[in-house]
Amino acid sequence: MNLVDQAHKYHALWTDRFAQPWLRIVTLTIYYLGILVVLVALHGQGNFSTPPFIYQNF
Amino acid sequence: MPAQNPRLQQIPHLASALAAVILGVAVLEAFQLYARSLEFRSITALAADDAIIDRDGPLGPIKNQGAALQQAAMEAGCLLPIYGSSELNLLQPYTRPFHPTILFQDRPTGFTIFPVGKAESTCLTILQKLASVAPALRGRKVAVSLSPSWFYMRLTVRPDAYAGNFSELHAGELAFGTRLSLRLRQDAARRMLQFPSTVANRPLLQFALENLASGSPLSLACYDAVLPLGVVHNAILRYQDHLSAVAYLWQHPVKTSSPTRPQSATPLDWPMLHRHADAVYRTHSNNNEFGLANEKWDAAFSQETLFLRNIRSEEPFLSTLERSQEWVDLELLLRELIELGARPLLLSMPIHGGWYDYCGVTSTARRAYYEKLRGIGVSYHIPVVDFADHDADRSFCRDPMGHLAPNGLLNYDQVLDGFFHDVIAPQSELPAPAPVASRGTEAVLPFPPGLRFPAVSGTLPQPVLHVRDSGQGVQDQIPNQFSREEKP
Repeated sequence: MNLVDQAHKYHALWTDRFAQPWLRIVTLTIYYLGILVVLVALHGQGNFSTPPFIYQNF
Repeated sequence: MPAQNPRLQQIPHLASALAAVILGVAVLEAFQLYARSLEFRSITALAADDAIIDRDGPLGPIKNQGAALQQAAMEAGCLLPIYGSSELNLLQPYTRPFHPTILFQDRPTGFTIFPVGKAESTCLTILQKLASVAPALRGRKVAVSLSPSWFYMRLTVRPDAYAGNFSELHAGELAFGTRLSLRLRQDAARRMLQFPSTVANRPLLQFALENLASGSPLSLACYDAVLPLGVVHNAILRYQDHLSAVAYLWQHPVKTSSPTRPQSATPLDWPMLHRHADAVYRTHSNNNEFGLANEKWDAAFSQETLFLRNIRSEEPFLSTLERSQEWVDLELLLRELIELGARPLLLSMPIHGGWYDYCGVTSTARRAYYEKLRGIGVSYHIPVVDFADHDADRSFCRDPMGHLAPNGLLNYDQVLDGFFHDVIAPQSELPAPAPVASRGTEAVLPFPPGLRFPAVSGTLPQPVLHVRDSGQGVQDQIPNQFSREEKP
């Protein structure tokens, strides 16, 4: 079995499995959750620092 | 393969995205509950930790620019939040033991303080900080510490200093917080827009503030239109705030795992503390006649003393005092505190009378500050403690900016203690113009009349009194180098 045949085989297998609605829903839900996690990781950390200024401390 | 649920199969992405969003919101809510619980459990130990007054430490931005820890402090019954500026964290090793955070560390009278603020946290900044904890303010005691120099050294806070204290979360809570009246939000927005650099890269906040400030029906309609967006944006900032607080508490497990220190049973011996403070400060203020700290004198004044003599007169002092925008901000702050149902106390450091006498600002001119502050307190029915009777006390402030010397800190401590226990003293009479500013325990009452304090026990150590020659005419001379910039 050459590489192309193997790819077709796995594609068919995946298409067959993914055709099941519950699996498709779960997979997509995980996918969207992953997007949310990445968004939180990228933007969740707030920046509460302030620009420095010279305090006239006499 | 036949579909088990044709409708679901038709909208797999929508159903999954919806499920992911619901799950995400649930996780965030659970995280918020965990974060609030952790913050509440940690806040008392955190307030008693030295890190709380470390002005350069990692806790500073989380405490001062965030709202989570302030909110937790408001909810803790044994903490008294105090909002102020550099006097809360600009310390020397010899003043540190008298700072309320350290003195009340073991809660000897049942509480400790939660200081919020850093240098140049003026009324406009405090106004926004308090807006971010609005729900927790009802019925809550809050002390606000004012610096007199805000009112007579300049017309308004410097833009860079305001930006250095700015918090998008606090500003957003004020702009989009519906607990405050529309009128107050509009007035505050007008002031906030006078510092355009802080809103220049925050389009939503800028849009809201500009429309609030405008006040026309169309502008208010635009403001109402973006209000939900602002609320959502604030919610995101709050999650970020919680995440920062939790990350800090995770990285400093001692704050969370160690139990709160047990309450000390030893009452504070105020007279002895005052004598000790006096003795300590005398050893750190013995190279000048003004009662300034040695390090301040050496660093800033010793070379310029003759130049600063009578450099300032009453007219520019009174003119600045009259026109300062800080009064506007103070009134906004008081309106906010009243609207939110807080129980505030206004504290003000006294003006360093000895130094300003030398600069050419007489006690009569300085009296105008105390009178105006007291007048505002009366107008808003808010107690004011201005320590005007310490104007001539050279052991109260350690520099002309009003940063507190050990005795000044102890006076603050006593007032805070009285405020927490509802035994605040009535306002003292404004003192008559004093011919010569003096120093030490011989110059002032060790504590205001009307307060109840623990009885003195044991033998008190006798401080070494340092008698000064009052005939050197210190009083008619004293200064302020800022006046070089302000003089017309």
